[in-house]
Amino acid sequence: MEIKVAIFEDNKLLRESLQQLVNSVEDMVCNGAFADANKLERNIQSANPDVVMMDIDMPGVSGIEAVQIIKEKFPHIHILMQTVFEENDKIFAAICAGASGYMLKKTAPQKMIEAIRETHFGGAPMTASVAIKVLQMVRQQSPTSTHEFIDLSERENEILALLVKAKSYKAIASTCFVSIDTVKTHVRHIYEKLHVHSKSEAVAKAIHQKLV
Amino acid sequence: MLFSLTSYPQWFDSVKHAAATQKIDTNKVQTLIHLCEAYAFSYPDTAFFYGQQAYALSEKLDYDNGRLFSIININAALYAMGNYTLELDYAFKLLPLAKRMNNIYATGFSNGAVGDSYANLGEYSTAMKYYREVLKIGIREKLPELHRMYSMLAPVFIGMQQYDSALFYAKKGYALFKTSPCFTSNDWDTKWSESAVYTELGNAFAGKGIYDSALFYYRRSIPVSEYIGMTINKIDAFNGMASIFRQVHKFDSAKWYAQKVLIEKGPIHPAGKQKAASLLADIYELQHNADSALKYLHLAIQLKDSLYNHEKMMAFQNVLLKQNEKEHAVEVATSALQNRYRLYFVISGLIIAFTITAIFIRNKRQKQLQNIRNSIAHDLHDDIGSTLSSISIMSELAKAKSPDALPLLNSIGESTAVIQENMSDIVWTVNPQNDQLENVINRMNLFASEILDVKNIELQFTSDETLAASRLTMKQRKNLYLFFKEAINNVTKYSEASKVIVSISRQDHHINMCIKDDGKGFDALNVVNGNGMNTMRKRAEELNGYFNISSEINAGTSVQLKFKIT
Repeated sequence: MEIKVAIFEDNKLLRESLQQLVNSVEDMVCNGAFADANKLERNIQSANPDVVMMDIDMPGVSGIEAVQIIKEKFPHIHILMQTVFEENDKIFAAICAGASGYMLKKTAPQKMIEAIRETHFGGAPMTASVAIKVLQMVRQQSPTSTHEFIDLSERENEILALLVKAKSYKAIASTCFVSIDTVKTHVRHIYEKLHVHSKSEAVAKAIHQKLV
Repeated sequence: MLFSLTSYPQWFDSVKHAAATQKIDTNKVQTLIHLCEAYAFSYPDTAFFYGQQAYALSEKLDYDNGRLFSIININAALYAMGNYTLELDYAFKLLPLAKRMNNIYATGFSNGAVGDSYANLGEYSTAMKYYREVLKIGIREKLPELHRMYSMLAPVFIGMQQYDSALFYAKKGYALFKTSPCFTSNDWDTKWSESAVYTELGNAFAGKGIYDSALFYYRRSIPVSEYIGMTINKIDAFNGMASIFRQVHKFDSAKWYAQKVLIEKGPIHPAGKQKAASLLADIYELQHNADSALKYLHLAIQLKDSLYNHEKMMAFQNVLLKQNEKEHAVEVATSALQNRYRLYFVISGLIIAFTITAIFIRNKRQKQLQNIRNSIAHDLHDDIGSTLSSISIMSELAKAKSPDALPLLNSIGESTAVIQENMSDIVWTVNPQNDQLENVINRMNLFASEILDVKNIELQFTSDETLAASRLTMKQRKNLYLFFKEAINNVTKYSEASKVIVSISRQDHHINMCIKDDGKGFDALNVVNGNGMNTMRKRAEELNGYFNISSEINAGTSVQLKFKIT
């Protein structure tokens, strides 16, 4: 069965090439390519995707807002965020809003395809730098500051610590004597714990920033 | 007092009239002035007392006329008491007052008063200067008192021992006086003028040695002076006659007149009395009458002492006046100063507020500009990045369609990757939020771990914790990072290493970075200027730092960078 992908990207050239790319892969098909998220619900309903590639910087409804709406109305859909910039606040907000993964546009096309696949199967693909940033922000949360403290298990904390030190998944796997997949699962769990807080301050802040 | 208020009957009458129609307070001033005037030449100390009160009240009421006439009469009393220095002080007050009143008479009075004081003090040339001013006014305005203005020059010339001029002006004044309409009247003012002019003529003739005429006029002046109670002039006349008789060796007559001076009571004209006593002492000495000579010498000394005491009292009066003036001046100055301070405070407050507002506005505008710039840069990068990404994708897709073109397409793909990487680096470098060393180290770490991971090279990355908060400039960030990238790229490309150790530490104000690999190394001595070497050298130069590469075949390579931070 093919993975149905919907694309939200305001740059015409990129949008069309992504569409072509997805369509060129055997197990994927692009059901819809949209320039903005203004008619989000209608677009999603017509495309009926499994995975959504969402650009963060779009005119009108922001990418992060769109993630919130999709997670609300269509919770089964996985979302892969895309941007040129490594903007910590927006990254964190997107994850909190419910995005499964976050990719920089400089990623090689092959890796992009892999990411889409991973997202669909419940993974949490992230550019290493983005991953670290998110995890750093998770670590920086203090128990007294917000009531949205994220409670991590001991193992998750271990992995988090290693990730923050910019160890690759491979390195972490060998240090913790587990497989890379295990590491990835742990990481996904960490992110899932973030998803719970879709209405978090971080999200509101990011949206506010975009509007301003 | 050669030039007085009482020479101006019309003026004074008008003032009296004005006083009558004014408020009680200014009337009080007038009354006090009258009292001062009345006692000036008979009981000058009492007169002085009244005069001062009149002046104080005039000050309080800010009553210029009061000020003017109270000073004029105070000066009459002071003249009578011989306190010429204080007289001058008061006279000087009249000058600015007259200017303010803008009135010919006031100007005339003030100049005359100052001239009088200087003449009394023996400063004849200065006195003349002021008298000339008065004369100018008198001639110009054709004042009826012009005759007085001429006559009063005579004693000044006598003082300067210019007896011809003295006689000339005394005569001129007298002649004019005789033609004036008030000459025949019996009122005080005319009589006073008479008393003065006769005495002056006497002095002038005496100075010229024309004793007959001198005695003639002295004799004429005495009864007039007696009549109006002008004791000073009387004393002067007696002294004049006594001194003439002494000159002509008519000692008895001389003695007789000198005695007449001494019998005058009261603190009037002490200088005149002292002169009489000295004269008597001289005569007795000439007559070889030692006892009498001694007696009058003692008297002269006593008078001098009392004059000295008198002078002490006068000094005391001076001091009191000066003190009052000083206090007044201090008050005025203090309130002026306070007002000024208040003004400065307000002005500086306004300036501060203005400056703060200006700074605030400028900062806001700068921020706005910066925001606009940032947003433009943001959109540009977004656009470029997205387009590059699409090129990358399209070249990837093309590979499937044209396998022959694979190498070319790979090049395209690589090129776009490089641009995207560089752009990402630029955006990161420019962001001021990344200025802490910690950010740079993290990014270096990430870069190294990603690229080395692909080649299965182990990475050991250690950095000094204390470095985390150090700040780097944009230039430093860029150069350090690019240096590092170059070194790591070299390792991945050439070294065939299995492990890389990166250590970053701090030494005083220097950052020390060492990148060591266990690869095959190279002959450092031969490869001096590779392309990569140039890049690293350039980076090190821009950092004002020092770098070193040491390598041996099969013994690995070690790259070192050291540079200074603040």
